Amino acid sequence: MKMATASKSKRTGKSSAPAYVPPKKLPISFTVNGQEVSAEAPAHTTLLYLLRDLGFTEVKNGCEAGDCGACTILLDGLAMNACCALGVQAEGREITTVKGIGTVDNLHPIQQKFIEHGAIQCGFCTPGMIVAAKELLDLTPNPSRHEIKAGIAGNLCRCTGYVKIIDAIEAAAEELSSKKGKRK
Amino acid sequence: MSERFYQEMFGGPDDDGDLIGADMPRVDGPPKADGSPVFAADHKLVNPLYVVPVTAPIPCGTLERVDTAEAETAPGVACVLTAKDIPGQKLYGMLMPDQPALVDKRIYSLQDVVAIVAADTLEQAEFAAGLVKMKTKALPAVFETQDALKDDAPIVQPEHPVAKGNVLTHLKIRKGDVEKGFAEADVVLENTYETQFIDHAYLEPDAGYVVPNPDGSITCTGPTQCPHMVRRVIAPVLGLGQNEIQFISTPPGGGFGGKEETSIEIAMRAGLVALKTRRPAIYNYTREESLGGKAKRVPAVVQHKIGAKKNGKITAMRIHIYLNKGPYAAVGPGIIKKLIIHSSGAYECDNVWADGYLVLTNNINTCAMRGLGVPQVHFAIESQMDELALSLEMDPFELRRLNGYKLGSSTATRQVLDQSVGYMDCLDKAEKALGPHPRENANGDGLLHGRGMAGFWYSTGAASPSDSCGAQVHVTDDGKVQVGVGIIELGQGSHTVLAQIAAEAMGVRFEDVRIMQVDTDAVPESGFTAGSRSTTIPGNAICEAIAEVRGILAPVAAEMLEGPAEDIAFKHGRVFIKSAPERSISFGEVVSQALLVGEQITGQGWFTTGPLTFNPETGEGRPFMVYSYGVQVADVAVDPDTGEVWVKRMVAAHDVGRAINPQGVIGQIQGGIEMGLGQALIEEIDVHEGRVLTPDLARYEIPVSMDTPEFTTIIVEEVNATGPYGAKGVGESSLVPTLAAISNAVRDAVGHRFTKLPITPESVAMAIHKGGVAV
Repeated sequence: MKMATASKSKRTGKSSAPAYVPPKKLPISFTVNGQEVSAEAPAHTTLLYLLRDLGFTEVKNGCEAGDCGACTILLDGLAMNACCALGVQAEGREITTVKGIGTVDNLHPIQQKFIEHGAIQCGFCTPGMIVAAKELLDLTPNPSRHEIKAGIAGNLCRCTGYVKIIDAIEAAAEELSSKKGKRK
Repeated sequence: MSERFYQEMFGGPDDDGDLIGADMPRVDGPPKADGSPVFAADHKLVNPLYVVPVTAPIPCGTLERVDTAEAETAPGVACVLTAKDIPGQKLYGMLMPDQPALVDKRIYSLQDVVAIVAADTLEQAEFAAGLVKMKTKALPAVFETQDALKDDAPIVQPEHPVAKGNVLTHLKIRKGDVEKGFAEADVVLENTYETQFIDHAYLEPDAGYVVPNPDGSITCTGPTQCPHMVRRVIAPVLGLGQNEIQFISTPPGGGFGGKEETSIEIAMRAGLVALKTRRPAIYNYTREESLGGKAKRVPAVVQHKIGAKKNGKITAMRIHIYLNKGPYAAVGPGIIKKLIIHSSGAYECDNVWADGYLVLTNNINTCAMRGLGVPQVHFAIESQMDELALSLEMDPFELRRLNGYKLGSSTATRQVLDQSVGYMDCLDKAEKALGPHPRENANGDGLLHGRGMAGFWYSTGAASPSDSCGAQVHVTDDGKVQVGVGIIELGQGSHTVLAQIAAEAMGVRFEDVRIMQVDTDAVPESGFTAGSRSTTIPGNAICEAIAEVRGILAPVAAEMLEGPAEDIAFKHGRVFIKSAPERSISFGEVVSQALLVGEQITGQGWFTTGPLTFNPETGEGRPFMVYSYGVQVADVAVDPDTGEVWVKRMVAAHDVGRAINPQGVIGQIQGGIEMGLGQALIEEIDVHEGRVLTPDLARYEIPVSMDTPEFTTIIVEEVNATGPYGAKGVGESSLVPTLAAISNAVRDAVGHRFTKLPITPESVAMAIHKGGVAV
């Protein structure tokens, strides 16, 4: 929001404001969910805006300040807030969004458990929450409930009270580790 | 709609179908699980403009001049609009027009919008917004309720159509003789309770866009909780008929009451741009705008005096309530009404006097939020009950059993509760689930442990003179069922629950029903998605529409099956004669035959509660159709050094009527409690002279996963004869008792009564330091 200040000057026509300079665009190449992507964006464009402009709207914009976790993605396998990086910093990196984990036609067990356990209400935090859960289970395949809570502590949810999300991640961990066990 | 209607039409409560009481997974689960573009900000438009507002620099005064010349010539700018560009009325409002669409002359708050800038990119619009110049003249402002009520206080809205001075609404309850009641009392307690500004803090910031249509009409898209109300409110401002405004609701990423006002603001201001420029206009709030600019939960000051006999019987209550409304009416009169009705708690009392004042100030505006003021008064009454139990040395459950509402009780408004009163059952079940007091398991951990309980009652339905809802049901020629109802799926699960009700009532499979996306061009008016009404009220309307459809299909089926139409039954997609269920035909076959003989397979439903009465001078009346009841018990641990409070466990027993989808009900209860925990311990929108000092989620903290207690959630099903399959509301009531339950637990842990929220670590540490408790 722009707060205009009351003008006390007796301005007569001529502008004292800075001129608008269109930002210079830089070329950026990286991969998203295994697909190569090339784009042009000004240096100050955040990775969040860049991804959403490119159509990856599964990366949700909740605060643009690293507070809510709705835009959580995996950057080279590690979870981060897309709003806290610049687009140009993605150069040559691998990005995974929630759609790289699973889609409606081919849901990942974490997504399935979220649905089964009632861990989704409004659904706005869900994509970021599932990405955070994916990183957690990649790094800690059999987490305790406390570790699950800590693993999603950077992702806000206003609807569920987190319980069913924690339940869903716990159930997904069980399913994923029993699948791995069978393969061995 | 009566119990008889349901029994005749769909069988009695014991004759439940498979879908009622089933944990059906959410119909919108899969697309939300992979981040599909369900939200308004995910949509792509062709050649859009971006809208940015310019707000007032002072909280009270007059706008002398606005200079938009420089902004208008900035790169990419399509238009800069001020009040002179409004084609219709310059004021708007849900209940009365008292709010400027754009500031014309008078400024009432820092959140007032003076101008809107629209440009090709968001960046250009923001740049140009900084070039709008204005000259204002400040006038004395008033921010606090007690200041606004002084005789010499500046008048916030000197030309308000309804307000008297700064009092917008003054409601009264006058039951019995309170002086006599207090004279009969052995114990009289009087305390003043204060609650804070709270933000809804939904994860999806408010958003929307407006597209101009070739015929001069407009299509607004975005999250809302009241699509038809948006149309009604903005039509006079835009100079359009209501039939020239289409509102398509995208699923809100959380609403909690906040996406009523903002959906109006966005559609109205983006609508002005779209009409002026003939281009689509996108108006998405930033988080800063949402937290810093939009209306909040209304802060309340409640003076509560209660008297009781030695045996615990309450003899009198005298209550004064003051709400800091901010400058505009909006839904405020509804808030004060609902709040005063619930102000004496779920307790019988022959002598209740209450006065509720809705006070205008130049502070940030306030609006509906989960519970519509009732959590604030329950903080007062349930804290008072806790103090009463302590001074009478009585068990808090016993005190509530003695005084609590039972079948046949008369409320403060003299409404006799003639059905579906589950309070006693909730008290019993919650108490049974408790286990030992947390102090017994402390094991010398150095923390202070406490347990606190609170009860509640909470209405189902809108706080309006009647609560009505339309629905239409259409059977397509492939035998599928399409339900049109203006209720918004905002995360609470309404579209899953309503599909369960519709499938059960129609006798088809769950997957054959689709609840349509809410579009004012396609679905009937159904009122607000608010007031915990989105199962009960629309469920009734849908059932009525389905009764009509059955009336069309039954004679056709009767002819096909060669039996009497009144004996035709619909179940699981099959149609048969009740006495001979072995011979059945499919629902689709009946539909095909009906179409062949020229039937239109459509039903219209309109449910209304009829008049809901409340006398503003005496409080007498039947203000709501039915109420939910419940009990919550909090176990807390307090760090005596830092004053930090951790809620370790919550036991919640809620009478919700018949739980159509128990998993969804539990989700509502857990989510509500977490939100209540935030208001009790963490959250406060810090406002200084009308300006929000906490406009981001780092400074306005809400509960995170680490704050989540262990939950024991108990559903009590006291069937509601006036709801679909016996359902009542649950969405808001889940946080109504939470504030007091946690506060009472902290009282038990540290021996100090907190009367002001939030209970911060500083205030707890201070209370311990001052000797509230021996550590």
